[in-house]
Amino acid sequence: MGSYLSKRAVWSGISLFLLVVMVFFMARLTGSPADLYLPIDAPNSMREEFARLHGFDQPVLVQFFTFLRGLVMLDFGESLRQNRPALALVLEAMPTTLLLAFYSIAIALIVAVVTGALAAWRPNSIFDRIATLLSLIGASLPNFWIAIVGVLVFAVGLEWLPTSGTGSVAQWILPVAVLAIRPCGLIVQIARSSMISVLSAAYVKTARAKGAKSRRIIFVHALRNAMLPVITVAGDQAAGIINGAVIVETIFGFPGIGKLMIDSITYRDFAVIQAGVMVTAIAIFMLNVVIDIAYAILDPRIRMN
Amino acid sequence: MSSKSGILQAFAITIMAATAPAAYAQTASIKIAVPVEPANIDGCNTTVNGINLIVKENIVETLTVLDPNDSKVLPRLATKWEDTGNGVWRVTLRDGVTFHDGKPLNADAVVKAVERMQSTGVTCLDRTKIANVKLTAKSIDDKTLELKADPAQVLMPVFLSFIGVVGPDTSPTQLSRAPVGTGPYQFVSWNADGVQLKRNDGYWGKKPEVENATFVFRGESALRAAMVKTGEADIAYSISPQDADDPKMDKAFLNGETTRIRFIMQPPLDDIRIRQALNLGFDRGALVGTVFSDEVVPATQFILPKINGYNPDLKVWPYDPKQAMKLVQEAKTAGVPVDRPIRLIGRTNFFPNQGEALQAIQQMWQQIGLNVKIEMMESAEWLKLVNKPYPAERSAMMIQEMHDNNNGDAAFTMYFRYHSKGQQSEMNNPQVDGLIDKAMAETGAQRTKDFQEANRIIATDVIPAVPMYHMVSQMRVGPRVNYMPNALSTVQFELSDITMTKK
Repeated sequence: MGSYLSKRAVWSGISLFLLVVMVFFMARLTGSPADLYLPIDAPNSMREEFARLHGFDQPVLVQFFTFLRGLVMLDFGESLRQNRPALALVLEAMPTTLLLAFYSIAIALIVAVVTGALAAWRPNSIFDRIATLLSLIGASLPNFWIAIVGVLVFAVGLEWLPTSGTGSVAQWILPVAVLAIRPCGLIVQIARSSMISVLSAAYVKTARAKGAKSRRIIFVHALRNAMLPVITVAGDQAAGIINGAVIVETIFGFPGIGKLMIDSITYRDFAVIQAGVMVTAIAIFMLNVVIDIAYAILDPRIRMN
Repeated sequence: MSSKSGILQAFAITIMAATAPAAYAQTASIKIAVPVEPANIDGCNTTVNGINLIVKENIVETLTVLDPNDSKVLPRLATKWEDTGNGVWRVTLRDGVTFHDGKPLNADAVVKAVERMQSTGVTCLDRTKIANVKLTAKSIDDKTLELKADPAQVLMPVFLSFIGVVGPDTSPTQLSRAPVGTGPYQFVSWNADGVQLKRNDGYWGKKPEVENATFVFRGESALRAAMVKTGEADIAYSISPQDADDPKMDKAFLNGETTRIRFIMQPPLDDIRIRQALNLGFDRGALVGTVFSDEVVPATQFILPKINGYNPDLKVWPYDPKQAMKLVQEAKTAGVPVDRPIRLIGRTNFFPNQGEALQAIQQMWQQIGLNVKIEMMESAEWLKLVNKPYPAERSAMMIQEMHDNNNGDAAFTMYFRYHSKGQQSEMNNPQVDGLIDKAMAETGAQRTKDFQEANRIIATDVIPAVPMYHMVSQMRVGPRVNYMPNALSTVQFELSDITMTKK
């Protein structure tokens, strides 16, 4: 396992480096921060002065080597907008997004695996049809729409929940629910099809023939083997949430990495974009390692070496 | 009671306790929902959208302020200002004013604030308002200072309204996220719950009624509107027309912004008949009360009626598609390439419903026989087209623009947009250049007259654009507070103007 992790770390390090280099050059193709940071009626002399102050007047290669020097020390530079170290801003925002992602994917997994397993136990039953229909709807609805409708129904209409904010437990319910609906819909479908396949395996038939109880067959014998594709999809969805909580964070006023990144992209705050990409990529790398370990625990046939 | 119902009851109590907005309902504490979280709230960025709402005249005060109704210059931290010649103005400061950190307001503090604003060590965006003017401040005595403008500025009293007087200990190299000023409110904190201010009980002026104010940042208009509806916030800024569905709470007001579509004078737009046809073929009335609020006002020029230099004799272009078609045909007969595609450039996220507006206008112009194609651009790309130096190769284009002049005088618009040396000008008209140069150096009625004449020539002889509307913003005000937005409310939101309905 140690050797496997070392190899993964080396390859991921190379990928991360290439990613950050790519982001560095692509960000600079999108325009000058001096154009977007300063008001539209700022004179060109002020734009030139701004570029000089922040080093954007230097050739791109010079900027790149300056950036590389900083990267070795994990110094991504200062945020243009906030005059603070970019990495500190990203690390401040990351826990909120990780918590959002954790709660969302945990709830989605629990609900989806139980629903998928029960639906697979009797395919084409009423429960299965309803679960399949709802999961399709959940997987298809855009987050933005669910969020606004959720606010109108549960905050404005029923007055059960607050519209937004982060201060209390109640304020997390809508954002977590919105983020969980789509992965939940997808995982229900994967769990259902995987369980149907596993439930027709010989060892399940043997267990039935021996008179094992349905609950035991589903949740002890079959589910463990049906979990591999579920974990793959759940991992993908968790990575998607870490990357893509932008809409939910923006709508509900969550100070997470998605909101920080979208603000930074809008204002061409290059240092924060680069630090954000790096930290997010590391988080996703670690998530992948966790998934691999989960694979090994669930299926001893998988040999890490 | 069964254990299940007990658990449910506990859950319900927890949720209710967590969601109740009652804590702040008992005091004169209010919450304001605004669309964008600013990067800083420095007192030298009082003219920057988003920052100004929080800081200007609430935390940091300027030397003068403008009357929202007629743009007249009023005293604030300066009580008197006098032109002593050669570009030098003598400014007298108000007595008995202290900063939130206890330091007194004196001439030295103002000199420091002016120097910081002009320093290249920190990017103070208020400097863009006095671009190309070097301001030198000198302390005369404790309450008097001299400000020298190079070149001399007749608009110095207006310039004083751009100078936010920050505390003398403010960092000269960093923009502040915890500003110190002399205003009626002082900064408390800035965290995930927003920016919190509290009343400054040592304020020199009238004691405001609101004790605590929190600015929260929510990007979605529907959500801001919902926050006021549910009582979670008291005021919501910048509500889209479709979300402003409660006449009791929603207030529309002219926000100082004017929209237009600028012509790039390439064939066929270099022909005045085509420019006239585009104006005649745009039904301005059709978008009022449909795509835009019914409070928007069709524009004749790029400044509002309250601005000095506005020409009241100019009339809104009538909608006359037959005449527009006739002009297009005449131009075609004369060899103008009217079939050539004309790019209609929009900028993303400019104002609510802009996409719908552009589509409607494009349809109107297709109907008069012009080949108009919409292109939406992100801000950085759009900026490359509107600022000099322009790209070497420019095809026929019409660019959607919006401009705010809340500064009382046409000078803040005319040179930049219409003078041949203006950074965003498409014009090269010696008569207009002469009038603008002359007016900039004048005062009083003659200044007004020359700007008005320049605006007449621009609107009738040159026609460099399709004037669209003087825009409105929608604000939602909840039942706990009284607040009536004015023409400056999008740039200067004074918490002192808010009163509580129940005391």
